[in-house]
Amino acid sequence: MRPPRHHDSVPDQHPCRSLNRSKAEPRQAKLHSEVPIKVNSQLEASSTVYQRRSRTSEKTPPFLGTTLLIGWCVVVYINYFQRFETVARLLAWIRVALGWS
Amino acid sequence: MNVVVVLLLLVIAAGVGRRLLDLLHLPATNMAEEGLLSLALGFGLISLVTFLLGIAHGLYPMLILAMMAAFAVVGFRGLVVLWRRSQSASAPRISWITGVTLCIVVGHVIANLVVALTPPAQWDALVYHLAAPQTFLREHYLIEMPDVEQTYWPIAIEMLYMVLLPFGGDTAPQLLHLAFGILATGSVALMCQRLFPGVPPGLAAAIFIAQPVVNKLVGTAKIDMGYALYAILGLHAAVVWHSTRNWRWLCAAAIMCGLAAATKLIGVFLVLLLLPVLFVNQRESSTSARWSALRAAAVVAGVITVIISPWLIRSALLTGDPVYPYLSRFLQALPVETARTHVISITGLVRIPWTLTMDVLPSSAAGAPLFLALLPGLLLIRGRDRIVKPLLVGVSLYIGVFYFFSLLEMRFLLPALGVFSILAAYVAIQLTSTTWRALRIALFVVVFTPLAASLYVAARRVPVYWDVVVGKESRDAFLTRRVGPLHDVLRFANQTLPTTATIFAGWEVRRYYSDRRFLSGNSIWWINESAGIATPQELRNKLRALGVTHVLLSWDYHNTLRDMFRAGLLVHDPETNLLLSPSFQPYYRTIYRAGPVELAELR
Repeated sequence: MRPPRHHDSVPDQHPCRSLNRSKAEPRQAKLHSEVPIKVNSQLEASSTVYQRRSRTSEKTPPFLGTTLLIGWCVVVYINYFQRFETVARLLAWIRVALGWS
Repeated sequence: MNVVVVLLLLVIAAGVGRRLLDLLHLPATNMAEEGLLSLALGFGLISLVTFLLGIAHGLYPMLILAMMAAFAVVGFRGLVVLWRRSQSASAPRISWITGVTLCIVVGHVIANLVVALTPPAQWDALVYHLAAPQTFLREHYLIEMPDVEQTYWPIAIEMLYMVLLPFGGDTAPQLLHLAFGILATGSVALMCQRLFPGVPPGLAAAIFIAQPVVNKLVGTAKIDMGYALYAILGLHAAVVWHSTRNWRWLCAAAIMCGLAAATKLIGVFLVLLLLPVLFVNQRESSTSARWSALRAAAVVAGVITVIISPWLIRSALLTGDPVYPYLSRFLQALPVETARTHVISITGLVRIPWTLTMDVLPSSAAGAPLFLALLPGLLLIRGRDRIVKPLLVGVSLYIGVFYFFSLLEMRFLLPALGVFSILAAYVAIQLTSTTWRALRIALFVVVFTPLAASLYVAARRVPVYWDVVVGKESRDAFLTRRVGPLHDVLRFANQTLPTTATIFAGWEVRRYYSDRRFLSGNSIWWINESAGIATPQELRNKLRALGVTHVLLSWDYHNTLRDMFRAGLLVHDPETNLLLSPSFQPYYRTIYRAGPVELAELR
């Protein structure tokens, strides 16, 4: 069994597999091997700079912050989707059911 | 036929553009980058040559055909190169998230394809995007249209519409605009791939195409998606320059921004979006970095000026103002009709993200709620990529300028929306790396809800357009339904008035469906021309001097303007329009009326 690594907290089934460092490296290598035309080596190197920075910057977001963000998203969506008649009717029904109106 | 004509234009543009890419020695790293840059450059060159043909009184279908044939011959080798590249490129592995987002993108494209196949009815298309090319073709050169001030601006995309109109009919420009939308969406994916290789580019593309404003405009004959394509490719090239310091990429960025400015004058403000990217240096020492950034800014400004100069020179020669009417406004105190959509204040500035999402004009389209919802998420991501900050600063500067100096319409902000789409995809993917399953699921719901809602809205529009596409509804019935009574009046005028007739419309500006000479009274030109007119008699004499034989009175538009004036949104009181005052009634005789629009013979 291989030794555990700190970034293994990202599950393997995550849809964006390149976020998982153990999966990302072979995939990026494959992408660059597919470059079909003359490749500027400086460009390729810089692209790798972005990738490396991107990977080193990834840390698990805080639980409380993410929960608050989802709460904020709900507020925004309720305000926004009220312009759809069905949603407006549903919200009105919920307000009545909760005795808010 | 219209689809074939548009595809031919795309193929020719790709071939010619690929040859230009060779000339620039631009080291594109993949097939998508090469294809998109080739197409953008090709469109730019074709529109420039068409413009020169127009200046030289050469706007005849046969000459346009010969021009395109010459481009096809020149671009053939470029096409062969592109074909070989596409054969050697292998298909990338597609994750489920890419699959889902691709389905969302394709769904939007199909729904908007139905819209694009219907006769044009969108306001600006009928005012000048199609009306100007139609008039130029009729006169065989770029005739001055003083009563349509927009025709003094850079109108590069309209030059492409002029190439299409004689061969593909008036739905071809709409299909080309849809193609621009698809290419702009591809550019967003390309830039996302470059900036954040860990983020599925399809997600950024889906977020972009699911914008209400994109969805609303992409199937119409406007030019905004062309503007978005050039602007986003320009930003992409600037980002590549930022990491490589290869000056060819900086030139590419400047060329793309120049083409964007030649499409829409506000493209000159793209420099604001680029500046923070240009000034943030990751490698060099501070002094040399500053000089390098200043040189870069000078190159960008210089190239943009060169590319839009043909348009500016034309405007300066015709009006004395290269950016008519904006400089004239200060130099000659023109009574420019201005409409404002918002009151400027500090709290208003702070509230922009909320305002853009929730409180927009009915005529405009709201922003997608995803940006407002997800952007605070940037605060939760520790150790953000260094490029994120200059991009955010650039976008803020760009939006800030529009807040202070322009209408806060989402279509003007399309380049910023492209960047936002990438940042939103980045934030979404970073946040969904959380280890808590419930939060991860909630975040996926947050991301996909607006995308699904947008697809639903797009699909709901299909039945409105479907009947005319399959021939169950006639073109005229459709246009009467979409354009209103004005279409009936113009159809009557086309059938009954002599070909020498000239129609003067008090307020109406939508001229595309008029086959007769059409002058609009809702223009700076008319405000100046009518400045000294005080009596109905003088007005009649002035109209006679202009060759006017008939007047078109659009009462619904008059009432709309009156309401806008009362709400403080207009400078001039529409009630002062003598043409629609009771005192002018003895000078005309109504010959046709459809609802609130009437056509009258001038006595």
